[in-house]
Amino acid sequence: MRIFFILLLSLNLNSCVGVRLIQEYDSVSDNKINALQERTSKFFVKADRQFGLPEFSYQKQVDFYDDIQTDINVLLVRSRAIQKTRISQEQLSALLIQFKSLEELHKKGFKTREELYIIQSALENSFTAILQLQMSLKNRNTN
Amino acid sequence: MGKSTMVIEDLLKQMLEAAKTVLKTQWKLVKPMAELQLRSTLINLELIAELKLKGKISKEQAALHIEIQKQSIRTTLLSFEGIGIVAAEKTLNAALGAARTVVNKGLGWKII
Repeated sequence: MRIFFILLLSLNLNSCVGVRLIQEYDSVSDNKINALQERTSKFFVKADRQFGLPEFSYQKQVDFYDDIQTDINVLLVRSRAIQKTRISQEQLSALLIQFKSLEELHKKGFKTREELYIIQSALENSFTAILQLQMSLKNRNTN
Repeated sequence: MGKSTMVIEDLLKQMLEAAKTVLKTQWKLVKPMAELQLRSTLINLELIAELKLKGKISKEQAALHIEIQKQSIRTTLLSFEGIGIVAAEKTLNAALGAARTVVNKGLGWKII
């Protein structure tokens, strides 16, 4: 009888609480993603201004790639330490692939500005999606 | 409306249809953002094909560009809570599959 009562109570609690399939909002990650987006935006503004100049050579931009990839890795490690963050991890991994591909293209050299515009637009879409997920997590937290 | 715009609109329809088949009930929620994302990807793919035609990029460079575009669609699909990783992957493959023949033909390389 007692077991039956406990079972009934736990079923009742489950129906009230709902099963959370995704992580809680993490303000540290959100801030870091915003900072990454800002740095990326600055990179493309500079790239447009310095296109064809020695300042925009791959060798002169290695620090940007090192910093961005380090930051994404830091975010990934943080994310792995938090429960139910598989989706965020997948998004960050996708972003990392994008930056690594951008770096490879930069190493080979850009012949036209159009190449950069194409990449910028894809990265902006990715950041929009990542920030959108963060916002929906934040909104759910405040509701 | 130019010829390339018509091709993009036609491809977009096919990609959206393919994505809808996978996402079923969640489609209504995803459609507006997916449409924006896929349209932007198709415009970029067309620009990549143009760069190839002008001899500005190699096959390897085109593959790197396409990888960047692909990951962008992935992050967009993953931003919808409740879709999940497996469905996002299936949707990505279905959408790209719908455009594969035309895009590869346009590029002149089997990259997608």
